[in-house]
Amino acid sequence: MATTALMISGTHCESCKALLEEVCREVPNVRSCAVDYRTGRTVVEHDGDVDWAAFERAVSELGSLYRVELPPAASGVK
Amino acid sequence: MEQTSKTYELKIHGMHCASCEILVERRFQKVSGVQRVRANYASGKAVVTAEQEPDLAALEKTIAAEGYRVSRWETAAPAVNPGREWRELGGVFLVVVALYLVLRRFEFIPASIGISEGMSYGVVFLIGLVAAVSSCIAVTGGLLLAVAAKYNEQHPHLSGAQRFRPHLFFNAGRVVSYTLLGGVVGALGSMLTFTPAMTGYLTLGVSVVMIALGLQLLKVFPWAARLQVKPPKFLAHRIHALSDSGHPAGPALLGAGTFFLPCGFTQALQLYVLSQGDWQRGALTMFIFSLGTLPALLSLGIVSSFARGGFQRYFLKFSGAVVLLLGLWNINNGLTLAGFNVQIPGFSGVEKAVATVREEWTDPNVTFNGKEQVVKMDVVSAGYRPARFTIRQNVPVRWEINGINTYGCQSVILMPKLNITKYVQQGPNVLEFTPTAAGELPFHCSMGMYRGSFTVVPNAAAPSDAPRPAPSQPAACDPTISNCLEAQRLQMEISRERGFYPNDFTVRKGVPVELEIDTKVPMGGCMSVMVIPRYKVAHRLTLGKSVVRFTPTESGVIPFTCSMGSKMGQFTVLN
Repeated sequence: MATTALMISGTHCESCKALLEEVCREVPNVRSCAVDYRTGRTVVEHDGDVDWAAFERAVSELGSLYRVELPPAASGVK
Repeated sequence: MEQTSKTYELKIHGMHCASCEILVERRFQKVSGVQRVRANYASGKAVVTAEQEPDLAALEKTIAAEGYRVSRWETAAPAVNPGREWRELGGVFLVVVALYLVLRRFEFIPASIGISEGMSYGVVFLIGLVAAVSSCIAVTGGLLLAVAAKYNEQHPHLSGAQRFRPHLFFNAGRVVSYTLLGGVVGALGSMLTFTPAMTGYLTLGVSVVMIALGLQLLKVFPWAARLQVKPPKFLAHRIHALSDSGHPAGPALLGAGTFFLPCGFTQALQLYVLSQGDWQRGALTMFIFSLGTLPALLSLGIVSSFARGGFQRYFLKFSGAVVLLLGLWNINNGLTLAGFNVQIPGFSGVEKAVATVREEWTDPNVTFNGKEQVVKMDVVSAGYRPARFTIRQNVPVRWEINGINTYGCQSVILMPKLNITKYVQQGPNVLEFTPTAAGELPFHCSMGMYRGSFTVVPNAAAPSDAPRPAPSQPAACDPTISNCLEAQRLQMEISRERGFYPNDFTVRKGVPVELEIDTKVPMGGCMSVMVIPRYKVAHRLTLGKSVVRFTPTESGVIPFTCSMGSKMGQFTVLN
C-alpha cells in the first residue's frame, strides 16, 4: 500500500470533506482519502497505481468547485 | 422518466453551501426508488423525483452523520397558503393586543413597590421581578425574544438544551455586567447612561432590528427574509451581529449590553446606587436586581428553546407579532427621546382627539375664564387624557392637571419647547405658561412613552405684552452689585404646586454660586438627583433645605437636569 499527498483547492467545509472523500474512494485502487478542508491537503491511500487523470475527472464531476493539484511525481511513482 | 414518478419537496436542515447540495444529491441518489434529486442550499429545499413517496427516515440516514436533518417541506414552507396564513396572523395579533389591554387593566406595577432610602435587598429583588414583567422589558425582552425565536427557527435540529445554552450565556452576561457596572456607578458616583437623544437613537436601532426579525418570523412577507441588518451603523446592529454568532461570547455580550438599553427601573436604581456612593452596595444592588429579572427572562428562554412541532409554529408566529408590535412601539419612544415629534396612531398612548379647530374655542377641554385659557387633563395609568388640545397664541394657559395615577413615568411631564418639567402629584396640579408662537407644542413623559400636544392657533387680537412663560425670579443677590463677590445666593423651591420654581437663573461668571434648594415634596426616581452636567455637580434632593455650590467659569447657558438628562432649568451666566 502506498500513500500520496496532494492538494485540492476550493474546499471550505465539512461537507466538502465528506463529499471528496466519498468520490475519491470510487476511483480504482484507492483505499481511502483524508481531506483537511481547511488547508486542502489530502492524503490518498492506495494499492498499486492510481490513474490520477481519472481521479481528477471524478473530482471535476462534482462541478467546478474544486481543483486537484497533483504532486509532480504523482503519476510516475508506484 | 417514468410516467408514474412524482416529485416530492423536502426541507433539508443544515445545508449552507454548494458542496452541501452535491453531497445531499449524491447520497439521496443511492436510496432505492429515487430517480432524480435537486437540492438548493439557499432555500434549503430538495426536490426528489421518485415513483412513490420516499421514506424520510431512510433519506435522513444517508446524511445524518454530517449533521443534516430532513423534514417535509410544508412544515417549514413560507406562506404555502396565503389566505390561511393571513387569517392565522390576524388571530395572533388579536390575541397579542387583547393580552396587552388586559395586562394594562391590571395595573401591573403595584404602587407600593418603589425605590426608597435604605431599602432591603429583598425589595430590590422584588423590583427586579416587577421590572421584568413591566413595560421596562419592552426593549430588552423584545430583543431577546426576537433573537431567540430567530435562533430557534434557524436551528430546528438542535435539541432544546442546546438552544437554551445561549440563553444561559445571555443571562450570565447580564448579571455580570449589572454587578460590575453597579459597582462602577457606586464608585464613580456618576450615572452610566447616554443622553436622552443617544438613548433615543439606540432604541431606534434596536427597534429596526426587532421589526426586521418580527417580519421574518411572521413569514408572510417573503421579501423580509432578505432583510439583513449588517452594517455596524448603530451599536444595536453590532449586538445583533453578535447574537447571530454561535460563540458563547455573542449572547453573553448581548446580555451585558442590555444594561444600556432604556429601562426606567435600571435608571432609577442607578440613581439609588449613586446616592449610596458605595461600590459594594452598588454592585450588590444591581446584582440582586438582575437576579430578580432572571425568572422572567429565563422562562422566555425555556419556552422559546423547547418549543417543538405545532406549538413551535404558533410560538414563532406569536413571537413575531409581539416583537413587531414592540418594535413599532419602541420606535415611537425612540423618536420622541431623540427629539422628533411623531405620532404613530395606536401605539403612543395618545387618545384620539379632535385637533382641527376652525371656530373659536371649539376644544371642549379648553375653556376661557376671561383671563386665561383653562386646560383640563387627567394623568392616568395609560398616560394623558385627553392628550391633544387646541389653544390660542399669546393667551396665558392655566393647565389643570388631575393626577389620578402618577405611579410611573407619566408623573413627569416634559415640554421641551418651553423648557418645562413638571412633576405631577396625585390630585390636582396646576401648570401655567403662555404660548408665544403658533404651531405644535408637544409634551411627553420622562421616558418618551406617553405623549400629548397643544396645537397653538394664531390669535388675531393678541395682547402685545403677554407674560413670559416660566417667569424667572431675580437672583436673591443681584449680580451687578459688587458685594456679591463672595457668593451669589440663589433660592429654588421644589413643590407640588409649582415644580422647580424658579427654574431660570441669571448669574455672573467667575463668582461662586450657592443655590439653596427647598425640597418640599419627596422626590423619587430620576428626579431625586439634580445634575449640572457642565460642572459635574450631582446633588441628591432630600426633603428639606440643601445647598448646591459651583462656580461658573464661562458665560452662556448652563442647563441643570435630572439624572436621566431631562432638562429642569438653566443658569444664564453673564460676563
